[in-house]
Amino acid sequence: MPSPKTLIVVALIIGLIIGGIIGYGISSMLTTTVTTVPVTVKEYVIGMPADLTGEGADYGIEVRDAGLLTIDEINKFMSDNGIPVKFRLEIEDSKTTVEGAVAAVQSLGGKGIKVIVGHLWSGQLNGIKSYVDSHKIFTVSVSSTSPALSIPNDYIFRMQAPDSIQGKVLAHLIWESGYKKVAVIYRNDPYGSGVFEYFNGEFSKLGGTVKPLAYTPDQPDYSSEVLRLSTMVKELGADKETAVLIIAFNYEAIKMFGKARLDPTLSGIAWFSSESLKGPGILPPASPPEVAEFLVKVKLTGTYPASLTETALMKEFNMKFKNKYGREPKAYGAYTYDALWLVALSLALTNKYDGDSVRNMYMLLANRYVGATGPTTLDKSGDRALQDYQIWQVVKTDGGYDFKIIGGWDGTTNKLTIYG
Amino acid sequence: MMIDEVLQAITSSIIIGSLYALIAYGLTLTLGSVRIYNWAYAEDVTIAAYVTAVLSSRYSLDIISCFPIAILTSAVILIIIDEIIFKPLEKRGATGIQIMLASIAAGLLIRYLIYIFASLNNIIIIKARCVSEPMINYGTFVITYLDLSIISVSITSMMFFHLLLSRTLLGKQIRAMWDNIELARLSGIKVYNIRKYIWMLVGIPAGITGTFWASYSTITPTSGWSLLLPAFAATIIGGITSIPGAILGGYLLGFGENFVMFLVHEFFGISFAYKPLISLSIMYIALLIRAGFIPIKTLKHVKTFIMIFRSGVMKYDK
Repeated sequence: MPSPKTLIVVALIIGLIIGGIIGYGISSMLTTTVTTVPVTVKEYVIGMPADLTGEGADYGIEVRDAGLLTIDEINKFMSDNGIPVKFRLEIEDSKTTVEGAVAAVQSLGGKGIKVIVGHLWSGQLNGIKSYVDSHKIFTVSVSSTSPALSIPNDYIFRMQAPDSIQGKVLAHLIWESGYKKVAVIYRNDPYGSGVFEYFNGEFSKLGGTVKPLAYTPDQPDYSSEVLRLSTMVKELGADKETAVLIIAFNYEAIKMFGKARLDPTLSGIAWFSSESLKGPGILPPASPPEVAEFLVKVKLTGTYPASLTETALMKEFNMKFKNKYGREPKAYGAYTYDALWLVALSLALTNKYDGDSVRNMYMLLANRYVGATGPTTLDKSGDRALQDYQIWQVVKTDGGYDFKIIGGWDGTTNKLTIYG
Repeated sequence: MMIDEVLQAITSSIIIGSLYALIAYGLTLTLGSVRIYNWAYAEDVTIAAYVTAVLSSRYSLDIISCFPIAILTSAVILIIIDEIIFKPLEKRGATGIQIMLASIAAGLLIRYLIYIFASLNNIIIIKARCVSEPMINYGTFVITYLDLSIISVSITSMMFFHLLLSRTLLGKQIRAMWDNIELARLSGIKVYNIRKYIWMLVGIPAGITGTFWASYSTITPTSGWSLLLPAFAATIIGGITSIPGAILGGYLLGFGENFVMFLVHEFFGISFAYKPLISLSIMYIALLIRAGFIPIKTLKHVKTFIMIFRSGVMKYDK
């Protein structure tokens, strides 16, 4: 039989063990452990179809470059502010063709991309519409303006106002410049027909006379069209009240200008243009100097959708673009900048990667956002509702040729002003 | 419709027709003698055009000096394509369709290389530095020195090719290959050597067309492609392997796109938006004629109709 001393020692040991176990259990229940969980940064991919090849590549490359610059800026903003979201552009070449755009968008869709910001002109947008609607891919075009695509409740949104407004602005610009008869040469596609239709309606309402000439895009030569245009101008009188309106893409227009400059009738009257000719491809070095001389001679004047007062954000964007790429953005760069910021903020706020959620948030944000291009308020079709237009003219400068802003159309008051 | 407008429409038809005819000539020579539907020929024309545009606008070389360089470049590229694509495929027994597909692939590869080059140098749209001033100016009717050069050089070069093919030993050898390659080989003609000369000859119209096109209009990496389609149409109109036929086809298309379009618009008000339809209709009618539909049946019908009409008139007269 163990001695009482031994029994006491054993009892103490057992007691210490049990007490230790109980004490550890209680202490672990009472103390709070602080653990550091690593923050995961969520990456969202934004698809970007752009015309990187083909005749529209000048525009597409600017959109791509503006997109890459903007994404860097957005990612820096998110990182600096501790927002665990970053963005990546998935760029596909839409090849300046409708088929190219369809293939590019289907390729992006095949990769599971649900949000697209692209340089998609109206013909291309028309081609991809059924695909993006059926696959609920939220799509923002920075360049399309055809009124035929102003459709409510679809998945297509546009950074620019439809040409129903531009057509009206052009009609007032030409009429108030003193021209009562206009020969119009336009692209026979949704863009050209759209601008022409609204121009024709407004100009006829003002009391003017219009003679139209539709041409097929992407022809190797436009000699016969220019000849017909000359005949039309003569039929209209070819006097001080007669002008030409050209609604074309730059690579087609340069070919036409090359012929028109030799025609005494066409080189003796004023020419006007829609926004599509305000771009890097229409002036030297892309176009020949003799074409630029012709444009100065006929005082080529046009519209361009942009805020009449240059916003601080626009100045900042232009400066960043020039610093990075060594050239100024001339066409859709600022629209791409605003579109990507809106889409990125929509994704960051919803934190969901599906077309419906992004669409709802985008509509909410766009109606409250003032970007580089001004207020981005939307109409019921998802197009820009309020649009100012700058009025530009090709002029000769010390260093060559440039677009000079000579006036503007105020979208809120619907008033045209030509600066002194 | 004024006389100056008619003259201008005719002049434009001849200018465009000359360029189509030149490319159609190159295609026909390839098809007839080497038996290859070379779709990469479009890119060959584009390269020649870019060579001219870059040399004249960036290095201030005059257009006349650009011609030999553009021609040489075109010829060398055609020989390289033949050496690394067509010949190896032929030696492995590839069919005509397989070689044609390979030429499409080669063309696409070259086109995208041109895109990369043009994009890096910011010359996607470019024109040769060549200000052509009017030589004759009568109202709307204008002929420039360049227009006259295009017409005269095209016609002269086609005459040169005709003489070369009909009057020289090389021409005889090419014609022998044209008739039967195997027979030519058996009779001692070094077919693959002659092929090199053929590619050099085919490079001449490509170089001339490219140089003229870069001077006449702005060019892009797809310029050759947009010219190739009407040129192929011209070869089809001309009977695919007939050189005079291809030249005629080129001019027919030029007239279709310009003069005929001008007339149908003036008299029937048909929109210029349908211009490509005119060229396609000409090609379609040519195919029908070649397939034997129109001449045999129509002529029979016309003959029968005339006979019935005449006999009817005779009966009535009696």
